[in-house]
Amino acid sequence: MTAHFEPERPATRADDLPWARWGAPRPLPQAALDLLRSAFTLPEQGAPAVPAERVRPAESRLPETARSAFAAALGAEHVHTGDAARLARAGGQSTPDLLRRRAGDASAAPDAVLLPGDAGEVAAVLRVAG
Amino acid sequence: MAVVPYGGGTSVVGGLDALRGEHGSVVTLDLRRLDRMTDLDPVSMTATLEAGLRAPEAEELLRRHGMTLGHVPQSFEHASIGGFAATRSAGQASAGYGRFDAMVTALTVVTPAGTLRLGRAPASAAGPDLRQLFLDGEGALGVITDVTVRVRPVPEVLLDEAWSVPDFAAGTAALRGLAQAGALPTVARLSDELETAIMGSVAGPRPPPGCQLVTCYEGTAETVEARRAAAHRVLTAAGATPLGAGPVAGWREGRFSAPYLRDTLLDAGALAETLETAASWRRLPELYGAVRDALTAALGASGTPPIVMAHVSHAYPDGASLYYTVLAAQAADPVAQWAAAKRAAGDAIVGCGGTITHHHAVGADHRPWMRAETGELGAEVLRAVKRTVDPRGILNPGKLIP
Repeated sequence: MTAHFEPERPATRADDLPWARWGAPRPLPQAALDLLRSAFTLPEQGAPAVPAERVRPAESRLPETARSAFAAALGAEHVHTGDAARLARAGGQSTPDLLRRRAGDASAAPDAVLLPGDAGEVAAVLRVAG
Repeated sequence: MAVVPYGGGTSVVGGLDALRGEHGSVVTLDLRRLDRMTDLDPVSMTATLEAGLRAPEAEELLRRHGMTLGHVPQSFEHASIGGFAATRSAGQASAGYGRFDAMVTALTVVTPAGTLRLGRAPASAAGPDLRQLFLDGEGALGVITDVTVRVRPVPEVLLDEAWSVPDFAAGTAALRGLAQAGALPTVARLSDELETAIMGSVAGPRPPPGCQLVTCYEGTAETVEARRAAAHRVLTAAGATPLGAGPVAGWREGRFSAPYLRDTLLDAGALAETLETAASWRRLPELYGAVRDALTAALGASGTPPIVMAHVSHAYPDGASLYYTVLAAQAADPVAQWAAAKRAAGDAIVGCGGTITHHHAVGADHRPWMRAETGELGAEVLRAVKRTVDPRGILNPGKLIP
């Protein structure tokens, strides 16, 4: 006999990753900074990242037929081809990933971001894509 | 069209780059709306979690019912359940709770050829374990949409203790003793001399000598006391000196802060990156030195001599992982600078009989060494599986499969 369990969703959502960072800036302890400056020659001005608002991904190459098929499968509100959604998924969190994004390189951005609601919609996306 | 499955966005091996492969376009399949706990079985002590749940969200759901997953990698704040499954994640408490792949009893995988529901019993002799084939598929063998995982009661007791050992060799011998006696604490993390000195000098004016071992015990009062007594016998016999709970507080407080501090280091013009491997106890000393030397030589050749420090974060009866942190000044082209260092480290790892990754997975960055892991026939087996479930090669091209 299986007891029925009513599915639950979390009350609090995890934060989204910001552009080209893990989170809001945190200062290094002074002792760590001193150690760093004694070990390495670092530029006075640091190596600031290109501001997020100056970074644009290349034009989306998603064909219109695919976009409407995805919209039919997921609902148009779950198919995103705007810059912000695409930039937010432009690669992971390795140091090379971050260095490229900090330099303003958005070449790892996808042509579209799809937000399926369940396993059936995931299967539908794969059917359209394949 | 290529499809890149996406969970928390925390891959550190190039697993999420939207590579088009041979396709005209590429879409990212963000699983965040798959965010439910769909079952909790308090009799079997398992929960079914959808892939898009982030780790803190899954913990919130489980703790409502007095349960925990006990999976706490450094990426905890952002990483997803599906990502843990698709990369064979290991966490800071994996000695006590097991790696993520060891917690999964069942999973659903959606592939272009159809959907698999794998796992129906705690153990099975019905052929090779297909669950293990699709765990660590890294989105190239299908999209994991939910997993059923073993859960534990939220621990009643958390007990922290730091130890000092004279050097890294004595520390690894102590960890080996713990693992082989079945006496590993829930967390056991041994820093090498340089990591101990640097962390110590940041934490206070008098960095401790030798190497520091952080241990934590979680469980009931009874199990914690029993395990602690067993660990104490092994550690004392190995020449370790107890330092009390104090030094562990700093580790606990900063356990998720390294990625934030890396941002700050990059802002300052420093290069900061980590890499990891694992090997048998017999090969570990040679591997430890070879990887450090390869990183030092490669970054030295770029004109940016590095600081290379390491710790052991996961110990097993037959071997352990090594986790390196590398700091240097950024060269004019820091991406090329790190690529040369990473190549040297990867070659040293493979040359010393280590694995190219203990828990970060393969992605694009470790793919050049996959053939060394699997051999040509093993690589062909993986390609055959890929052809069967994804005949048109739409899933995460350029990742994992050699």
